[in-house]
Amino acid sequence: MPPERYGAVVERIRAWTPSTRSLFLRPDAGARMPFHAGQFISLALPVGESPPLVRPYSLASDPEDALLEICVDLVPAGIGSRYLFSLAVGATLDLKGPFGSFMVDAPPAAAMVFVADGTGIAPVRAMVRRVLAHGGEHRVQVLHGAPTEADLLFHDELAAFGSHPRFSWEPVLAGAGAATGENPKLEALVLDRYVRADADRTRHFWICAVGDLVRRLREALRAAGYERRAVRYEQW
Amino acid sequence: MPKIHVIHESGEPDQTVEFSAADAPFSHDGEPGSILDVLLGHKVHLEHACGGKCACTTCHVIVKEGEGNLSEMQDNEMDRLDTAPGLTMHSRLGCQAVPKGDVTIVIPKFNVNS
Repeated sequence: MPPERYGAVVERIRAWTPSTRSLFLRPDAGARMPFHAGQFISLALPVGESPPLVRPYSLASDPEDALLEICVDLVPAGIGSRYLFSLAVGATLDLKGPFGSFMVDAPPAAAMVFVADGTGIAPVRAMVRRVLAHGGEHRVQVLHGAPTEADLLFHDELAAFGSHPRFSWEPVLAGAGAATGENPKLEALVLDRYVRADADRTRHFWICAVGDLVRRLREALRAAGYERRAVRYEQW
Repeated sequence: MPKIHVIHESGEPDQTVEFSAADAPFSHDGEPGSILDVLLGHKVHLEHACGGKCACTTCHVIVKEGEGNLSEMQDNEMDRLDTAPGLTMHSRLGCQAVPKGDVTIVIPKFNVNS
């Protein structure tokens, strides 16, 4: 799927919290962008010292959804996110995609562990929907970090997947005021459960968050004996 | 001051950028002082679909000279390069490779990941 350029219209906005929202984008002229669940698009924003400012956003939507959904965190000093927060329904955007290799290319014959913090849940939500729709016998676990319960994007949907016999979803709350990308509880839980608790090293991981948490988890899991290619990650 | 000499495989004229590492960052994207950061800050275009966060390979460059003048490759760059089309023994990601001295790079025609 080579990346292509698209114009798109903001068709809907969902405010999750005062500083996090989903934008639902409809590519122009009914175009449909083929992509794999978990990939990202690249927005070309008309801001910055030498526009366009290029900013990537993981797709939370499924490839079969009519609209592309991205989750945007408002970063006070971030000119890109401030611009996206200024957009109203009907605004237009230039984008290119899909990009990236953070995906479930072939479900492994092993347990799948998704670790996400904050808006890092966006590509995980897309991948989990796909994985559960296609059957299989191995466990699918999601560890979902956020400061508070109110910050858990897709809370209801992921909780409802809990009725699926091989799926579990576990919120890991860092506490009100926790900085983006910092969730010591999530980090400790991953290491306790998947490194210290047993010697099973067959699991596959998908890790997505903002900041250095991703690198630390990746390095710890690989150093503990998990296969390099079984620890996939997207660090925003 | 270090220089980055850029050869465009697309046939555009070569370009050379001279910079002071102490002045980094030069742009909003890539590791401060990286090839991407320096080029963008000096109006030389290099694709960077992920905004220089090492999540794609669109800033893939091939180092012709001065490979030893670049920062050592880290795991995240290796992981991404594994997925790069046209990978060579001299491939680097512009968003991660930080020049400490003169380098000559080729920007391939195919620097979009597929």
